[in-house]
Amino acid sequence: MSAATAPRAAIAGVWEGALDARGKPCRELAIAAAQGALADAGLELADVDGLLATYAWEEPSLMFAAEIADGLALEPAYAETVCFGGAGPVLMVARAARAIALGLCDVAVGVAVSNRASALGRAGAIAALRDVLSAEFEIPYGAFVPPMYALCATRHMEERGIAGEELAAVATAQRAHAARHPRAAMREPIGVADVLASPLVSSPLHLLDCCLVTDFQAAVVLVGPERAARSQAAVPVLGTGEAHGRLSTAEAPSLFARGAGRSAYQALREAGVEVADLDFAELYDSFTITVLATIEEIGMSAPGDAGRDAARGDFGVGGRLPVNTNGGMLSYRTGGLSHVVEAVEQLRGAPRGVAVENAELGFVNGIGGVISAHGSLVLGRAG
Amino acid sequence: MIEALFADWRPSELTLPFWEGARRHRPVLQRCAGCGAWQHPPRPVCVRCGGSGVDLRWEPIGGEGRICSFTVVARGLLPALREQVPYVLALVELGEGPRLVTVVDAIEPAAARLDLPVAMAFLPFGDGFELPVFRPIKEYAKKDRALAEPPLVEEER
Repeated sequence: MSAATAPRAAIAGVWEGALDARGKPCRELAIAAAQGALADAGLELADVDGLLATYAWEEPSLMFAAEIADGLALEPAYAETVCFGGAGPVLMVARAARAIALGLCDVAVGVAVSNRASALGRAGAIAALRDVLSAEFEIPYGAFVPPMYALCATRHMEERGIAGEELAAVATAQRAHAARHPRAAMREPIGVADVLASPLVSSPLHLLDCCLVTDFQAAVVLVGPERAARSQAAVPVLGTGEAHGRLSTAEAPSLFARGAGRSAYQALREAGVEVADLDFAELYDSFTITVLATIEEIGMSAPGDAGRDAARGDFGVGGRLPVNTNGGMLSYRTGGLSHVVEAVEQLRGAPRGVAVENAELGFVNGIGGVISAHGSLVLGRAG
Repeated sequence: MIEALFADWRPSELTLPFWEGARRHRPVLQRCAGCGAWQHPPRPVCVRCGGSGVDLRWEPIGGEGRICSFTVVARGLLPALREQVPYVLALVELGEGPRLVTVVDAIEPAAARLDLPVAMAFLPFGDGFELPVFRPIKEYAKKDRALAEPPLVEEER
C-alpha cells in the first residue's frame, strides 16, 4: 500500500486542563482529560474502543492505561501504557494512529497527565526525573537532567559554533509566542539579555534556557478514516516516526544526533513530504539547546546555521519556519502533548494564540531520556 | 561523597569488576577478545561485534584521558547537592577510547576546558568502595609535589 492510499487516522479531538492540577491523583486527571477530548471530538464514551496513556511515574501503576479505561467504565479492544519519558506523548499518538491503521481499534483516546509540580514540587520533580539516568554510573557524580543536557551542549555548541546569545534567541522567540497565548504560564516578554542574566543552572544553560516544571493534563482522540471524513475538525496523521538511541551519554556516538533525525525522516517519508514543505514545527524543548540541535539534525537549518537562524528570527511566527507557536515547554507548560494540541489547533485554523497563516503541514517531535527516545508526527490540514 | 547519591547504587555481578578495580586503584574496563573493542558502561555483549560471554574480559586501563565535554553545575537543584556547587560534571574520553560520565575535581571550575588532559583519581565512599573521578594532569602533579615536598624541605632544614 503506498503512502498516498494508506488509511489515515486523524486527530478528531483535543483537550487541555488547567495549568495547576492542585495535586489531584493522576488517574482522576486522566479520566477528566479523556472526557474533555471526547467532547471536543463530538464523540461518546460508547464510541471508544482504544485507550492509551503515557506512564505517570508520579503514581507508579502496573496497568495505568487499563486503570483509566476502567475508571471510564470502558472495556476497550486496545489499550497501552506508553513509557518513553518526554517522547511518550508523541509516541502515544503514533501508536494510536498505527493501531487504527491496523484495524485494532477505531476510536482511540490518548491521555498524558502529571501532577509533578503541585504534588511533588519543582525540586521533588527534578529529583524524581533523575530516574532516567544510571544509578550506578551517572547519579553518584551529581548528575541530574539539566546538567546532563548541559554536558551535551558544551561540546555541541563548540563544534557547531553556537553562542549563548543564539540559545537565548530560542527562549525569547518562544516567549513572544507565549505572550500572545491566553493559557501560557509565562507571558511576560523577555530579551536575550534577560536569558543571559537569569541564574546559571549548569553552564552553558541559564534558568531561562530550561523548560518549566509544571503539571499537565491533556488528551487527544484519534479516529479512523471514515469517521475523519465526516469531521471538519479532524487533523490527519500523515506520518509517524520512531527511533531509540543509546541511553548512556558515555556511549552515545554523537552527543545530540541520537535519533531525532531518523524518527523525523521516517515520518516525513511516510507523509511523502520534505522538510522544506513544513509550515511550522512544534519541537521538543526541554532546553533551548535541544531545539537548535533538533533543527540541525532534521535539516531545518544547515549544519552550523541553527543558532544564526534563530538569532535572525527564522523560528518566530512570520519567520521562515515558526517553531513552538504556543511558547512550548520553555514558556507555555511542560508536557509533550501540548505540542500536539497546539499543532492540531493551528491546522484547524483556530489557534488560541498566534496563528501560522495558511498552515497546511505541521511537524511535532518528542524526546525522552537524555536525548535517547524519539518520536515524530507529520500532521495535515483539518477537513 | 554524598550518601543520597548512592541510594540506588547497586553493582551487579556484571559490573562489580569495574568497582573492584577502582577499589584497588587498578582501573579496568571491558574489552572484547574477539574484536579488541573497549566499552563502558559494562554490558553482557560487545557493542561493536556482538560477541558475548568469554569474549568479554576485564583489562587494565591507563587511567588518562581528556575532557570531551563538561558543565559547571552552578545550582544545586537537589537538596543533597546544594553544598557541593559549583562542581564540574564531565564526559572524559580515555586513551583507550571509551568515555565516562564523571566529575573533574581539584580544579577551579573556571579552568575547565574542552580537551584538557586528565588522570583518574579515587574518592572513597561507603563500604570501602572508591569512586573513579578525574583531575587535571598538571594540577594533579602539582598536588602530589605539594604533598611530597614538605618533609623534604624539613629535612634540608
